[in-house]
Amino acid sequence: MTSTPLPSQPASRPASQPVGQDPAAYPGARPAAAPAYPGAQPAVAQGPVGPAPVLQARALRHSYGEKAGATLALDGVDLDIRAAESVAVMGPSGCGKTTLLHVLAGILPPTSGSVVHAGASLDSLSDAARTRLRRTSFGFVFQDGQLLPELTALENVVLPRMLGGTSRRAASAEASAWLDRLGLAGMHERRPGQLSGGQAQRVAIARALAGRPSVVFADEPTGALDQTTGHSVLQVLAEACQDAGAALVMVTHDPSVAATCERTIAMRDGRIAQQFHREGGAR
Amino acid sequence: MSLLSTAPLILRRRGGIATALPIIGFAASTGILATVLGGLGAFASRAAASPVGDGPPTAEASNLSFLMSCAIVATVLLVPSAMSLGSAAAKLSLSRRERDLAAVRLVGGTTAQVGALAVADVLAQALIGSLIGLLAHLAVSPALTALDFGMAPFSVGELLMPLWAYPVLVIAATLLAGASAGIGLAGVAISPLGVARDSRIVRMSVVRLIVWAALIVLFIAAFQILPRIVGGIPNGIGVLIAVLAILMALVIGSVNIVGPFVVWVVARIIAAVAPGPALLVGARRLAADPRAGWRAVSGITFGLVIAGFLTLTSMFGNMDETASERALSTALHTGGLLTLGIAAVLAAVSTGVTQTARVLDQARVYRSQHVAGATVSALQRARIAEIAIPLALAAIVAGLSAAGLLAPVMSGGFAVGAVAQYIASALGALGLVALSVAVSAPLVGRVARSDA
Repeated sequence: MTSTPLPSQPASRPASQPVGQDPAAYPGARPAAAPAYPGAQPAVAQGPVGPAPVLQARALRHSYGEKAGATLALDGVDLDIRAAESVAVMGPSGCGKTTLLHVLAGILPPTSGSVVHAGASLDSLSDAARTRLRRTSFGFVFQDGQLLPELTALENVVLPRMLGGTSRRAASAEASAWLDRLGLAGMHERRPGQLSGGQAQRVAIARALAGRPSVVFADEPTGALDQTTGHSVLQVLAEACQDAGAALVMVTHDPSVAATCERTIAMRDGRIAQQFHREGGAR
Repeated sequence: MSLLSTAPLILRRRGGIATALPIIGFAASTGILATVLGGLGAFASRAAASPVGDGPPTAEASNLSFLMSCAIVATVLLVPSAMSLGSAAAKLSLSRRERDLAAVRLVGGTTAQVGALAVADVLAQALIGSLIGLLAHLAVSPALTALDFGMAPFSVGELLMPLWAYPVLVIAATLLAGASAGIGLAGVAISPLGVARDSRIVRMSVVRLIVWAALIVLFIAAFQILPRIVGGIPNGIGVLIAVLAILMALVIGSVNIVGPFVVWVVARIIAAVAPGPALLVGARRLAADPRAGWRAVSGITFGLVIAGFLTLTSMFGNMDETASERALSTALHTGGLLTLGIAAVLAAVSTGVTQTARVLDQARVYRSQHVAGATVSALQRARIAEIAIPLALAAIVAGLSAAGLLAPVMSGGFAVGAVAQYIASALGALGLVALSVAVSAPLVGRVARSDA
C-alpha cells in the first residue's frame, strides 16, 4: 500500500502539551537519529530496543470471574509498543485480543503484571488518573465509532479536547483542520446520523487524533463497513496516526487489515503465539 | 406463542434500582389514582347525601357543591399526571429490556414476537406495581381521615372506592401501561444487532408559544369580563367558577405545550455558545429531544403551577368571615395543600423514573465516553446541565403561567404571600430534582464502568 500525502498538519497546536505524553511521539520532536525499524527485528520484543517503548507490558494476566469458574483471558503477555509503530493484534474469538487492548489502554486493570506508559505504571494510577491518561495520551476508534448522536461532527471531535481543558475556540480550530484533512470538509455541522458509516468512522479517527495521543487503540475499526469503505478508512487511520506520530494498536479479524500494519501479533489462548514483522507496510 | 413461553427465561430479573423503579412508578401512579378518585367519590357521596329541601340550601350543602367542583378540578389536574407517570414507568421498563429483546431477534424472533414479549413484560410489571399501589392506597386511607375539610371527618369507608372499581382500575392501569409500551416500541427498531432509535432532526413550531400565551390572555380577559356578564344569572357564580376552572386547566395543560419549544430554542442557543463540555453535551441532548428533556421536569412544573392554583384558592377563602365561609376556607386550604402534596409525590417519582430511564438509554454512550477519558463526574455534570436547563426554564414558564393565573387577583394586595408561597414551592422543586439526580447518580458510574 502506498502512502498518499495528506494535507498539512493543523496549524494551531494547543498551548499546553498534554501531561504524560512522550514528546518523541511527535514527528517534529522526534530525535533525528531515531532508528528505522529493521525487518529482521526479533519476533518478540522483550526489552526496549532503540528508543524507550511508548507502552510496555510485562507478564500480563487477566481473568474474568471468580476463582473456580474464572476464565483466563490473558496468560502472561509481554509486549512493547514503540513510538509511532503500527501493530495489528489478530487471533480467533476469545483469544484475548480485545482484553489485551483494554488492559493496555488502562480500561481494565490486569489481574497481575504491569503496563508502563511514559515511565509510569498504569496500575499505580488511580481510576481518575487512568481516565485522564486515556483522555490526554490515548485515542480510541471502535467498530461503530460511538460518536454522540446529538452532537455535530465538529463537536464530537472538540468534546474530548474540551474535557481536557482546551477552550472551545482553540479546540474547534484544531478539530476543523482534522476533519478537513480526513476529507470531511463541509460536513462539520452534520450529525452522525446524517453521515455514512465511512464518514462517521473518519470523524471518530479525527476525534482520536485531535487529542495528539501517543497511542491510538482501534478495535475492529472497519468491522461495520463494506470492504472498499473499510480499506479507505484504514488507509486514512494509518496515515493519520503516522502523520501525528502516534502508535497504532489495532485488533482485527481480517488478515488484509492486519497487513497494513508494520507488525502483526497472533494471539492464542491468552498468549502471543507468533509475531510477524512486515517491511514496507503502510508506515 | 411458543416464544412467549420462553419469556421468563429471557427476561430474567436483574437486581437493582433499574428493576425497582418501573414498579415504584406503576405503584405510585395507581396508588395516587385510587386515592384521588376515592377522595372525589367521598365528596360526591357527601354532596349527594346532603338534604335537598324546598327551602334555601344549608351552608354545608352549598359549600359542598362548591367543594365538589374544586375536587373535580383537582382530579382533572392530577389524573393526567398520574397516568403519564404510568407511561414513563412503561418506557423505563422497555429501555432496560432492549438488549434482551435484541438478543431474541438475533436467535430468530420476529418483530411481532419481540414486540409481544416486550409488552408482556411491561404488563407483568404494571400488574405487580398496580397491586402494590392499591395496598399503599389502603394503608394511607386511615391517615387521610384526619384531614380537616371544615366538616365531619371522612370515614375510611367513604375514602375508599367502591369495590368494583378496584379491579377496573388495576386492569385499566395495566392496559394503559401496555399501550404506552406499544407506542414506545413504534419509535424504536429492535434489530438483531441492537436497538436503533428514531433519530430525525427535531423541529418545534412557534405555534406552541402562541397557544400558551393566547390561553393566558384568554383567562385574564375572562376573569375581567365574565363577572359583569354573569352577575344577573342565577347560580352565576358557579358558572363563573366552572369557566375559570376550565380555562385554568387549559393554561396548566398548555405549559406542557410551550415547554418543549422553549427548551428547544434555549438549548440550541446554549449549545452554540457553551464554553464547557458539560453544558455543550447537555444542551445538545436537549436540543435533539426537547420533549424528553421537558418530560423530566414537567412533574415539577406541574407542582409549581399547582402552587399558583393554591394561592388562588386561598384568595377565595379569605372573602368572608361567617362560620360557613371559615369552614370553606379550611376545606380549600386543606384541599390545596393535599393537591400540592400529591403533585410533589408525583413529581418526585416521575423525575426519578425518567432520569433513570435516560441514564439507561444512554448507557452505551456513557461507557464509550468514559473509555475515551471522560470522568464519571464530567458525565454527571453533563447530566446535571441536561436537567438544570429545562428546570430553570420550567420555573420561568410555570412562574409566568402562575402569574397569568394570579394577575387578576394580584391587585387585592396578597402579592407578598403569593410570592413567598411560590418561592417555597420552587425551592421544593429544586430539592426534588437534587433528589432525583442523587437517586440515579450511582447508576451513571455503574454503566460508565461496565464491561459490556
